[in-house]
Amino acid sequence: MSDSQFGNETAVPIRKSKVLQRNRDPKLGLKVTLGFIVALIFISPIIWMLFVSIKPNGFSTTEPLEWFLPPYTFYNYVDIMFGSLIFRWLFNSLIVAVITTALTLLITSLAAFAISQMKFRFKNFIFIFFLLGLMIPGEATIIPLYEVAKSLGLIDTYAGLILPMIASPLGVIILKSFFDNVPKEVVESAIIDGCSYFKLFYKIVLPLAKPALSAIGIFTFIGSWNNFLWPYLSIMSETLYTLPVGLPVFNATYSQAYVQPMTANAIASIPVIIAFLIFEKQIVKGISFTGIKG
Amino acid sequence: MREWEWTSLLPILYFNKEVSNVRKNNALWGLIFLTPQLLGLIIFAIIPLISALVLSFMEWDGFGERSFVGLENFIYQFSSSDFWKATYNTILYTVLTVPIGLMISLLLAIALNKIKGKEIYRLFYFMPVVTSSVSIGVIWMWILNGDLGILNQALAMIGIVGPDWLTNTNLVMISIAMLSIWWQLGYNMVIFLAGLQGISKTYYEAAEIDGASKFQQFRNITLPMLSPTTFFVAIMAIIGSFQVFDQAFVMTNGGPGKASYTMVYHIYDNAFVDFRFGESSAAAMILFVVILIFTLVQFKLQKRWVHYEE
Repeated sequence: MSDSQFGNETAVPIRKSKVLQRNRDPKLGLKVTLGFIVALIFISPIIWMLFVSIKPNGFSTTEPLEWFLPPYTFYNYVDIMFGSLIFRWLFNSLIVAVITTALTLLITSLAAFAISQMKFRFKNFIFIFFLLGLMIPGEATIIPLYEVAKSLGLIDTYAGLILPMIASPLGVIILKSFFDNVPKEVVESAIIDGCSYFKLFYKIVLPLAKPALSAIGIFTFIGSWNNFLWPYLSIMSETLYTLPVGLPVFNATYSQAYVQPMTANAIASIPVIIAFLIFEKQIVKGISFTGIKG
Repeated sequence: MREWEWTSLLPILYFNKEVSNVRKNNALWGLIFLTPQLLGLIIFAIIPLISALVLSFMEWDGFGERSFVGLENFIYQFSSSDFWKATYNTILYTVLTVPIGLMISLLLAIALNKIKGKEIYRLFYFMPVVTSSVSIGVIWMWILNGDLGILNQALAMIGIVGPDWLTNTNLVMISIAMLSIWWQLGYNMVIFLAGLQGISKTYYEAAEIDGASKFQQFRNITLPMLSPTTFFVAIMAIIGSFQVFDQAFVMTNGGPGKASYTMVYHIYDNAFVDFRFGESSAAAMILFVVILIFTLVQFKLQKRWVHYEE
């Protein structure tokens, strides 16, 4: 006992002095600069996209540095914003992603709550059923999904983009492991006191799962925002395109030019990147809290 | 842990009557809470899966009659060179992206874990993740362009003649894998960072005192403690990479020839280009079974190599 205490006392000063030494690291400046350069190179495709987007239409060069030098013009932005449906597509992407996220959070948390906190027959069976759902690759069932959506009148509608995406088995599994941490005593005493399940759900259990909810919300939002194949197949009208479906249109129309597709890309990416810069802390925190530890 | 569970049973044993009431309500409420999720899953996942299974034994052009053809669609796939090309490309993509992508993102996470201002770096590395696969595809299509692309222009500056990244049949899949690693790196890195922060510093302090080298610390503390995270990231990455499609579709149309033709591309082509819905469903079922086997094997192996902290 006294031995270990002694060990601790000596260990602490040693560590402290090491930390102090590291802070006075003469190479620190170099390391930071190097790290920054690597990060900049990593992100250079996106920087390049932004620079090309403000180049005069039809610009092309063989000098790599000239991509980043003036002349600049914002005419492409004006041209694309008013000459195409890109704002409409941006709006479609946004509305689909927001509704998909909200509905996913609602129905997965309801299901996870039932599985985690209630006792009834076939519960484990249903949970295994959800686990199986996790293993069905969306892309593999896309043809019959098209048939199902057609028979429900969902082809070429917002609902058709949203509804097939909201029953996320992964969401249920993550939330269940979170809800499992709510002490059973709290739940049982609340029920015995006559607290209804809905009240229990949104007053006690849901607030405790905020980090998991924000993580699933972010996964779902990014997933919906990036979703390509399903919107590509199920949407016919140009006015209902989402951004990923609409963007290649610029590529095809202006196959020789760099500038137009990059401007369209920039218009599509800038809102997400800004949203990301604003919510970065929550996003990372959300992902970190997902209860990956199992 | 066990003790806590046991005591939590006490009120149930004691208030036997209330519990039976609770139970009755439970079944009804359970159903109400579960219904939306169950309906969604059944309508948009289970029914399509069963339909795909049924359709894989049928001949159907999307409009006319469906007729039962037994195993013919599977025989067609297994003897089709396109099917094997797609399988090969998909496996190549998985083998390239998953181990390399995981390794780079883990090393990056370790490097960033102790650096000052890691929030700013994290911002940089995560940015591609929020950009859509189609945008990424369009950007890289131009960057990797053999003659006009900025990458080859930059390589020329230092005297290297860059290859035709996207038009060389041997290179195109590697190029697509490369940019996909770049695209998803930040996502895996953030999950690894979270895992690293979950490891108590006392382990490293103890190891330091015992004179363990940085590599020994990595090998004996970081890796085992991080194994649940690695497991999660690996599973998601593998399942995702088996379904690669967008990048190839946007950038190369599966070409040149069939050089970047993937499994999902094959399923898509069979159905929506050739109108062979039966054959397409057979390929889809094969993909499903492969992913299923993979997931089950991984879950089985998880017990052997994943270390959970108790």
